Amino acid sequence: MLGLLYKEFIVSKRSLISSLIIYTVAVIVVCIAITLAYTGVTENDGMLPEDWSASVTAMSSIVTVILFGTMNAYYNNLFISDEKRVWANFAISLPTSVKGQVKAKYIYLFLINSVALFIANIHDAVIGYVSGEFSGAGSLIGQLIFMLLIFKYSIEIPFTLRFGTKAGSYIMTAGSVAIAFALLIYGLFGDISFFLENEFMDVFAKAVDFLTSDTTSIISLGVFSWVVLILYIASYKISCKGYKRGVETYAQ
Amino acid sequence: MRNEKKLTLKRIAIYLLIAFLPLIIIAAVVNALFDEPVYVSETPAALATSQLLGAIGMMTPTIANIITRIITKEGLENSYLRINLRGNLKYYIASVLVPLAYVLATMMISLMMYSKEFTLAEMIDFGNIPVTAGGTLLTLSVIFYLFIPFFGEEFGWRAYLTPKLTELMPEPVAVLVSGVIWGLWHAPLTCSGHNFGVDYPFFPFLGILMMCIMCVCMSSFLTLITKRTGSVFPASLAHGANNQLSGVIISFMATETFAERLSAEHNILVIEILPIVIVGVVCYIILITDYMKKKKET
Repeated sequence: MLGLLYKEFIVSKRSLISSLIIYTVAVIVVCIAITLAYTGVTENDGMLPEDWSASVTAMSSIVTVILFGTMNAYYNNLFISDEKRVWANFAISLPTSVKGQVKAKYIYLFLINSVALFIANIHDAVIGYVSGEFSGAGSLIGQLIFMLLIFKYSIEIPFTLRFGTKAGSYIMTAGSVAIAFALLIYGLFGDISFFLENEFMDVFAKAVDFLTSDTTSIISLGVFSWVVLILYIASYKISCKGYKRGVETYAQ
Repeated sequence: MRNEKKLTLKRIAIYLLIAFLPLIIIAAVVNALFDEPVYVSETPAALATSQLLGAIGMMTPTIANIITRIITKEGLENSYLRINLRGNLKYYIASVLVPLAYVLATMMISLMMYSKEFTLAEMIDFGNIPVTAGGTLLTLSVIFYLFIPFFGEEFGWRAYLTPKLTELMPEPVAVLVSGVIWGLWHAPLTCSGHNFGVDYPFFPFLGILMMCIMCVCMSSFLTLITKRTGSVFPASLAHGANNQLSGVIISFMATETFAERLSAEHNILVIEILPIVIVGVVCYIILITDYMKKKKET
């Protein structure tokens, strides 16, 4: 298993390095922006503006979104490299068999997102130190994104392994369009006062506040976090069954 | 044979140097920066720094493990990195449920200790029970999502130091020694007010002693599940459950008055460690029995 994980790392090494570079630049830009704003504010009247906390929360959250976004942007690379029938047949004939091949992908994706969450904790602290305002928003938003990504992968990976990356991405695009359509309908007929009443920078702070103080949201998050984990394991079992059939559809 | 022992000693020395030094230096610098123990300071910058200190500190044992292996050309032999879930599911479940059980036991002891002073309604906010359940579920899942820092410690202490010490001494003694070393490793954090604060008699020595006792007990439990599964992951989960759960139930369920009273009392130190001590003693007895059995067989 360690060997297979190493292989996945080698396959996506360049993508990971480039995403970490983008992320690091984002953190540095945010820290410089905060330092300049902080210096400007304290030099003028020594008082921080009222929305300072909300701005810091928003920036920390945006950096977290960038981190998870870039680290997961190369999802397809992980599967494309294996989509050759000769290689796939050879791989499933190894002692690790189908289960090992599929498990490595699931573990690898979980692992890089765990690392991303850990990094989000660190940048949260760094931004907190620089700005003098520590909300822990980056970590919380990170956990939420992690759960949503694991949920997405639970649905996407079985399709990708069974029908290939092309068909898998078509299915995911269809899913995304369906979600966008549902959001559009909600936007037209539902309650969107939250977005209209608040400025962009306040949305993150209010969302974090809602997630940590509202009883229903805490209970829902607690249940959702476990449902997603169980779904991920179930998805792995389904993928194992689909992978062998999928191999037959790969090009030579 | 003598050369092998020498090499093991050399590896332990390198490992300990790399694991201890960064934490001591960083904690000293941070405390000097804030002019007071960082975990006591309530400024946002101090809160952020304490999170950073914890996150970096927890990774040092893993870094020490990797660097020592590279320096001494050890390779990845006996790295305990296999998941080994098959046949070991019960240990994985125990790794989460045992800490949950002793956190609940801590809560029960606290309730019993103060039952003369407060009524049950004054101690527990019954309206918060659903939130507590949700919060506990979320916290338990975070152990899986955010397992890196806990793995960071366990990959050093359980997957490297304890097996190395076992090469030099009988296993039960190795568990005690590694527990004490682990407790002492926490000393820079204890001096910074982590876990027990600073407002207790004989600060920080009593705190360091308590930490050593806690670590020896935890070490017995964590070594037992690491040995039985041949994997470092159950110990990482158990460590995560221990760190994340302690406090979460009390913070959600206890009323404000009761929570304030608990944090103001020094005997919270004893309350906190009592259930862990019981778990530790039971696990240590199992470890000794295993060791004796193995010795008899050979």
